[in-house]
Amino acid sequence: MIGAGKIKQYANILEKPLGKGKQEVSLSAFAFLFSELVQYNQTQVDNISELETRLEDAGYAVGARVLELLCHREKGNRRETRLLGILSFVHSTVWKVLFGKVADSLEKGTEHEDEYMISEKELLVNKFISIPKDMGTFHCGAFVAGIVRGVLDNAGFPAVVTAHFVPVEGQQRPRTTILIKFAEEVGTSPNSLASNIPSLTKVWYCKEKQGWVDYHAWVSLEFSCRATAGREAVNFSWLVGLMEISMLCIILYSTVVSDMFVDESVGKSQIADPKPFPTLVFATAIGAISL
Amino acid sequence: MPPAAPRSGEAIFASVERVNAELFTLTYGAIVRQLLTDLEEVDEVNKQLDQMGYNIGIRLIDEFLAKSNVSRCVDFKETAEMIAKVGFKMFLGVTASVMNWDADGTCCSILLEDNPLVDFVELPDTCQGLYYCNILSGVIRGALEMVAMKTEVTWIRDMLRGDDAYELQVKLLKQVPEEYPYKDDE
Repeated sequence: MIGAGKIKQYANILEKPLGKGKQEVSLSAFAFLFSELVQYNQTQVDNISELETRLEDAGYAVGARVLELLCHREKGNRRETRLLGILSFVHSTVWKVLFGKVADSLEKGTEHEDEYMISEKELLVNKFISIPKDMGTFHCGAFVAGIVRGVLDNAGFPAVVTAHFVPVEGQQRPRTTILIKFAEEVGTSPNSLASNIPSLTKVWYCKEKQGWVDYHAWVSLEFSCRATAGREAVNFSWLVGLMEISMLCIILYSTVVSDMFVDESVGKSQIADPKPFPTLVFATAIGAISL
Repeated sequence: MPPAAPRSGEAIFASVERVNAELFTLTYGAIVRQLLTDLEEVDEVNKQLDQMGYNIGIRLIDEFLAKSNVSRCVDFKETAEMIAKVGFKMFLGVTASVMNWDADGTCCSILLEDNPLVDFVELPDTCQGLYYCNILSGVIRGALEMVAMKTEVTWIRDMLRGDDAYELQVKLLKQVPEEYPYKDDE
């Protein structure tokens, strides 16, 4: 047939071009698929919280992949390292790509410092869904909460994310709020750093030994540093290094150098008792320098 | 009032609300992953995907008939053309073509040029028997059953398994005449 070309074959899926992300499917196709997801999960669980957990896990997988895809395509392989940055990434970029519009609002919680809320009048996934009365507080937005959790977790900001209906006066349908509660290791200030920033020594090692690799790709090698701020992590590793050196010096001194302080004129009986005072001074000096 | 003319797939696709295909792709991937974790057997997953597709198909046909304004198809050949040209276009935004008709006119192949379900997908060695897009075969089977045709839909070629295209075989088993829910003499 003229005009019907063969689809190009790629030996490796990684060689296939990523595409611009402009392809679309009809909303009803997605709605049908999502309804099957929910219906299948309903057969696998006994209660509502398990159902929400399963939907969230499905969304988590989507979120992890969305983060990788968008970091590469939209942000040129630069990742967000600050709390506010990642929240606005979720609120605008992720929402725009997945749902076609930015989220309605992003707010900081007033009662707790580590809570943030993304609000939406009507989530896309809920468009054709009605919750029966006996399912109480069940929210299919748990899928979207899972997507957000996947993005945040893989960006280094672990959090617990849930979806809630918030009734609004004057409107029949309640608003949806995605509540993000960050874990303790993430700081509460909007400038908190991601928890997977590599330390300076490790960056140096990577650069010298392996060549200058793409920062984003390198971080996915999962070097993680548990300190909340990258700068503290740098100081900590240097500190450890210095303390190791000082311990080595003390051991070296007490075995080799201390012989020099033995009083030669006194004789052999005194060799077994090296002067303790110089050793102490030396060790204290090293300790003081490292601190 | 004369019935409205049937609309082309492109026109309908332009008029419906659309979502990003990547959300669709990733959601489908999450479904397949959940099934693989729960069921573990590849054959079971294939069957479950087909069943899910069937559930979608029996409801999808209503929307298809409502939006596309097609009149009753004269024969199976026209049905297959409708599926390929209008159905795939209006739901998935991809064009498909029909070929390889057999002598009776009851069996044909639908060739998909583009498949939004399989972006970013590679089958691992442990899942080589998996028909990743089996949901599509269920959708077609379910939709046709609701319009009085019993069919069998199988995958002939699947790019994830190393072939060069996506080809579905649709075989008409029999036409089931519509039964009325009440008998005349009661």
